[in-house]
Amino acid sequence: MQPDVRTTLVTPPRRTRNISIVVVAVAALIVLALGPLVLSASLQFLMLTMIVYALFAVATNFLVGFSGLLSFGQAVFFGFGAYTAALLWTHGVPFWVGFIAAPFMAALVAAFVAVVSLRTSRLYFALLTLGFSQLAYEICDALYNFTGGETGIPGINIPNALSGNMANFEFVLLVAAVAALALYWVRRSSFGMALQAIRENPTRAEAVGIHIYWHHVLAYVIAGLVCGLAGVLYVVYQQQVSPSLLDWTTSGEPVLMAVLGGMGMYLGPAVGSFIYLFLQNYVGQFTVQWPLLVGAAVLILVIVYPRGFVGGLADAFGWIRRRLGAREMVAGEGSSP
Amino acid sequence: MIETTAALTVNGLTRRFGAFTAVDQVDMTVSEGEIRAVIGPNGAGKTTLFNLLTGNLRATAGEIHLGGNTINGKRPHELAQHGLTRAFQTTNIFPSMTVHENVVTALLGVSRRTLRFWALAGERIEKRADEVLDLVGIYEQRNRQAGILAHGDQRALELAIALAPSPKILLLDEPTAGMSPYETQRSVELLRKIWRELKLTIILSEHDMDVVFGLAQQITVLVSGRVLADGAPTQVRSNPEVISAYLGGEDA
Ligand SMILES: Nc1ncnc2c1ncn2[C@@H]1O[C@H](COP(=O)(O)OP(=O)(O)O)[C@@H](O)[C@H]1O
Ligand SMILES: [Mg+2]
Repeated sequence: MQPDVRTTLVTPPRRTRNISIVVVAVAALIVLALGPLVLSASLQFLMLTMIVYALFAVATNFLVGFSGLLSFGQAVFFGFGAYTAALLWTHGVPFWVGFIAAPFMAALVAAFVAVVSLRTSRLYFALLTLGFSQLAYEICDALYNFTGGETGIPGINIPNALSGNMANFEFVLLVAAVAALALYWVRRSSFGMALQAIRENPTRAEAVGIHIYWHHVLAYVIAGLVCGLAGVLYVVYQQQVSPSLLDWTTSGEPVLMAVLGGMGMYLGPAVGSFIYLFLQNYVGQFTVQWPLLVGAAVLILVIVYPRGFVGGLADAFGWIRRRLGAREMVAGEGSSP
Repeated sequence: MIETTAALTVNGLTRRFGAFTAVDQVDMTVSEGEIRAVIGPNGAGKTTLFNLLTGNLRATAGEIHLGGNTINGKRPHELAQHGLTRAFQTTNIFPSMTVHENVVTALLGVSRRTLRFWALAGERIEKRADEVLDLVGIYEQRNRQAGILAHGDQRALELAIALAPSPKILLLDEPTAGMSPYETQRSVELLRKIWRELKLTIILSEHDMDVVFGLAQQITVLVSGRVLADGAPTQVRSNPEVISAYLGGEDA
């Protein structure tokens, strides 16, 4: 009657699903890596923007979608990473030192913001992150001598090895991919399970010994680190920074991208970044009202299809698979799983 | 009186909501390894008492001692780590995780492994989770999403989550709520089996005295937040005050 734990252990169906996701992700990565070989310089530039914002959006969604922490202030860390790298590099600090130090500086700022903001309720938290975002912008603007004020910092030098078109592109793509993979690992870790648990049922999470506050602080710091890294990558391919990086609209963009691509899927926000920037680039050519169009698209999506673009794709595949499965069963397969 | 170690002691515990007193001057001593039933009609204050014990609510007055320590003002997660876990009256699970992941999360939480953002749960914890699922009888459901389980299986999962961390004291708030008489009888048997195998202290609440009569060694009768009677089942059952205030009321 009672099953033996060892003999009846079944392979979770999740494994097979994971394999197909890995195959799709690797294929997408290879296609992207071919970019410099086939694309014009301006399209390469657009694609780099897409890649960097994809990482930014994935990291933001680690908070918003996965941890249930609505942060409107992720541009602070994106911009802080970018500015720190830019300032270090223009002041003669070696490339790699700046490259490593800048994301950690962003994480440090994230730790400060988190420790302060997370003590409040969810709504105040979202508002506070927005406030910090505006504060960062004002500080940057005020420190003209240091940050270049509204002009920003143009003409940042990066090592020759990374300044060629091909090398620059592949470097940014590789770092973004590795960072996304690392964040995925964190999501699957014990910590990731706890974050999911808190989002789904905070009362139950506390009752099994999970201290919600510190888990959220750590989630915020990790997201800040990766957003900071995305900011550093931004400098690597743009070779300039401007205060618009810190603007509150820059904080909203990764959230919109996540909604557009699907907050429930790990790479949904990355796909959202590609869609969003594609629309901005092409629809933006025809009308200055394009943010309105994107806004409308997101609104419709949220109402009609809250699982986003990738969620929609997954559902479509699931439907096809079920149809095929049904046909097989008619052909004499017998029992369903 | 026989000398036993107290697992949990409650002195003058009181909780008010505005002018209303939900738990009123409750005294209770639960010995180590006993099954204590807190019974009383709906609204008697059982859940509020449990919320006080697990730190989900703060006491207005009174003291709670766990082992030798005062635990007033401690947060739920701290108490869980001190070996006090709970199954809620309304099922509290992680609905989009699998059944197995639910239990793994509980094991990770109480063992303070959840701040490790690089480590996976590991084989030992995964296996322990399977053993607990087996014990409560829902092992076959391990890979299903918890939210789509039948009510009875969700109750079993709720129990598994509370049980997995090997608590010293297990609080069960109306574990048979919403169950048919048959299911109720089965879960009483399951609880007896768990108690015998794991030798833990169980405090459970119930609105029907017959359900716990054969299970509990000690019964506390709660009416309008006050302790009406306290003692062995036979003693409590023959208490004239209990008969008139509680049992009599229910028959009418
Ligand atoms: N948060 C609250 N605010 C106000 N009144 C409450 C609250 N929680 C419980 N009560 C009241 O306290 C009384 C006891 O409730 P409860 O502890 O849930 O009883 P039981 O679990 O025995 O059915 C009820 O009258 C209920 O309405
Ligand atoms: Mg109750």
